Amino acid sequence: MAMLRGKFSKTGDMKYISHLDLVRLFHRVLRRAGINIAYTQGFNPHPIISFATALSLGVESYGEYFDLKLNEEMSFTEFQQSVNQHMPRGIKILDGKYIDSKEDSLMSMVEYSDYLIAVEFIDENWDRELFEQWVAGFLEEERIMITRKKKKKRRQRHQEYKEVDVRPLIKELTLESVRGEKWSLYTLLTTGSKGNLKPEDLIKLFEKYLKNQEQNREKENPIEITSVEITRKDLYQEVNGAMKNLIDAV
Amino acid sequence: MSDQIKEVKIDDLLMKVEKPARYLGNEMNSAHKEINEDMVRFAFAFPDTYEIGMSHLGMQILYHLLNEQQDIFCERVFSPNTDMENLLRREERPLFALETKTPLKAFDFIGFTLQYELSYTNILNILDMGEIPLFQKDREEEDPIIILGGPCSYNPEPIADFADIIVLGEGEEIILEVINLYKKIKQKPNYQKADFLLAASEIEGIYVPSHFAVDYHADGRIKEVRSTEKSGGEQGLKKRIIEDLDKAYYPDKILVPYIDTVHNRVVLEIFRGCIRGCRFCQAGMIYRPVRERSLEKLQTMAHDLLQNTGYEEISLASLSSSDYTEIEALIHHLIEINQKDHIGVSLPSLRLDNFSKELIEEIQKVRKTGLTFAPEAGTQRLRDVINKNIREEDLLNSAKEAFEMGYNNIKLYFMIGLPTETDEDILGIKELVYKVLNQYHSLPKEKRAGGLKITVSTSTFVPKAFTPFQWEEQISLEEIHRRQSILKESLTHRSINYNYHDGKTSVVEGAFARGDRRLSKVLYKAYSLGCKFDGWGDHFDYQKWVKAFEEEDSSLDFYSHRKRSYDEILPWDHFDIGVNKSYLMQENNKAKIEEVTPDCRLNCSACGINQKFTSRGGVC
Repeated sequence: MAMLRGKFSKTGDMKYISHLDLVRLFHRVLRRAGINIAYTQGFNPHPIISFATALSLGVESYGEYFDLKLNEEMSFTEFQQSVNQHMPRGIKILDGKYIDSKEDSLMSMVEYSDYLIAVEFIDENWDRELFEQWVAGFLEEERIMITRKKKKKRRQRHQEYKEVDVRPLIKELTLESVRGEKWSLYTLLTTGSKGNLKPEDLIKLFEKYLKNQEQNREKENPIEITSVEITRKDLYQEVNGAMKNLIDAV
Repeated sequence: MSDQIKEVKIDDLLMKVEKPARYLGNEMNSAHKEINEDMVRFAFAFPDTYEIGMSHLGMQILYHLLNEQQDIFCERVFSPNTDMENLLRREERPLFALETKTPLKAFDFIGFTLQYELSYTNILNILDMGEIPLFQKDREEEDPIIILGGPCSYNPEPIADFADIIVLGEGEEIILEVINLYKKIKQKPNYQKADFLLAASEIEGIYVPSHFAVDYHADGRIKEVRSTEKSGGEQGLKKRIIEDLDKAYYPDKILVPYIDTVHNRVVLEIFRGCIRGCRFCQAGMIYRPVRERSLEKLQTMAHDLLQNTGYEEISLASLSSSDYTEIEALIHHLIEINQKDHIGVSLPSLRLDNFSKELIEEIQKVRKTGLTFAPEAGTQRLRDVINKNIREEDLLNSAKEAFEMGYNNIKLYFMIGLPTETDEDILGIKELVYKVLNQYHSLPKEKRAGGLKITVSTSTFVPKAFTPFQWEEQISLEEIHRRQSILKESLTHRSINYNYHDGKTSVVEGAFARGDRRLSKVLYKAYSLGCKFDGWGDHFDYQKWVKAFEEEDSSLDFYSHRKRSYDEILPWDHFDIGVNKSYLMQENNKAKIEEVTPDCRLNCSACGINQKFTSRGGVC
């Protein structure tokens, strides 16, 4: 038995594959590639593979991870080659290594993820400086509140909601680049069991903030984001104050 | 493809629709080819959702068969879901084939499979969204050739006005003959589509509806089906069969969808045809004779398909899996695969009378799912009428054995409205279900699993073309509701769950199953009124259908609820499926006197299939 940790990308058309479908795709590709995977015991055996954290439909990524149990260790390069041969275009094993099976699970390790968020706005020609001021202003907010669904208790009929302050979950937010109509933001967000903010929620909160700014300035055109493209760059764990991706962290 | 036709852009729509993976067209084992001018481009259209269409074996076979030819490129198209349809229509973008997003109107052929009468409006919708004139007579030289095939093409008359060509029977060989002929004829100077249709009509199994006209009596019955001046030397409209399944094409790989579909697994077709002669069953008649694949062939197929898909489950396909001569050897082989590679095995369509406890125990080692049995009728008398050849003891013994093995979930299928059915037969369903329930309760508590669930489903009998019951009437809507309510009131035990099909869909299905060519207009009217996805309860709108029949001066009663006499010319009488009409009459007569006919292996009942359709000289 050997535990293999792999890093992969999910881009292009593959961003339209849901997490559940991705898991199933891995099962089938591993079988096609003839990898000697270990199975769970019991009535309905399935491959022993786990993933770090689900990616939303429509988000591309260059930093996804899985832990896979093999019956027999094979060279990582050989594994990578044969699996990539059977993967659809858009999913590619990028890196990997064998880890001790006593290591923490991916899911419990992940603390941060970073994203590039490319947005287009309606009818606006802003200069970079003004936009940067807004980003700074947004981060200076004392609280950034978001409404979340509460977990339903058993036999509870109506969904309850709660207000959460997500400002502490935003580690970084900067303007990365401006290319024509596209404004690219870079952000580092808390991810995982200790707190979680999705980039698509962040961008909605930022849009709301901008709209309020507009009202204050009494401009004619309302600010509206017309398109959002999100790319996840990587997943991290903080080790001695440094951000390490989930392969380097072990 | 002409230069001005560009691929349809959908990237900006994908995030706005549910399950965008339906529209990607890049699944494992999908075909992607460099397009050149000499290539024949074929769009295989399935007039239902992606999830249903991708589960259809015929599509998988023909798709890979065509794509193995260098100069043919076959792509797929399904009925887009309503969300995607609305976006495409709003943006005025035409419907496209999945692999290249090429608009449908740029294809040489669009082939529709006719699986179910209630998907006909979806065919019109696909053509309309593809910007292709619906009626054959309105299509121009540059429009694609519309070719229809599949089980409902045994009576294609209600949809005939929309088709250029209809294929009768199994498609594996004929489809290549048709395309090769097209390639040849298209090269000729002054090529016209009519030349191709004329030449194609000479291929056995090809029906060109525009080469025929139908005359009617004043009372609406058919007077005559005659050739028109367009027709050439039609070779007799005989269905096509593949005689040796071992030599027939079967893909060694199949498409593996990203999203969950109805049958998301390897499907192994073990044989075609059926040795039983249930008198209501169209499949049992039209797919004759029985042709089995050899065990060796199936083992190779199973191995290749699993290897090339990575699927975790394999399922056997046939009309009655336990009738396969080497079923035990096959299952032992599959179990072996299971033990080394963790492949689940599922075995649908088992019969009650040769249900083997050993077999079930074998399968159970893999995965224990529910069991389904289909007694079809509640009393022995009615089961004799329909020639189901299953006895009450068969069901009760099987049920008992299943409960002993720890099954607690059983499904029972019945039909209501079968010819000669009385209220006593309906109550017979109730009695039979309660006897099954008692089998469970008669076992000591420690020997049975808790939480018994018996699901009883009834569908309404729909008389179909080329069956011994093709002359029979379908019961009225009121009568369907009355009989359903008898069962609703009597199947009230907490372990029993009663499901029934909407009678209204059965009435429309019944009209199209035995309809004539005049129904093409009704179909068009219903489509114009907004009918589509009629097989889906949440879309089906009976009132629109009633209105369509009224406005076209047609009658559901005439088609669905009318008994035909033996001397009436039926809309499908000009086709030959190998089974003689005299045999169908004889079976219908035997039904009336409740006399059963043994299965084909016990005693040949001379249906006629082996006289004209195989080289085996009358032996099945």
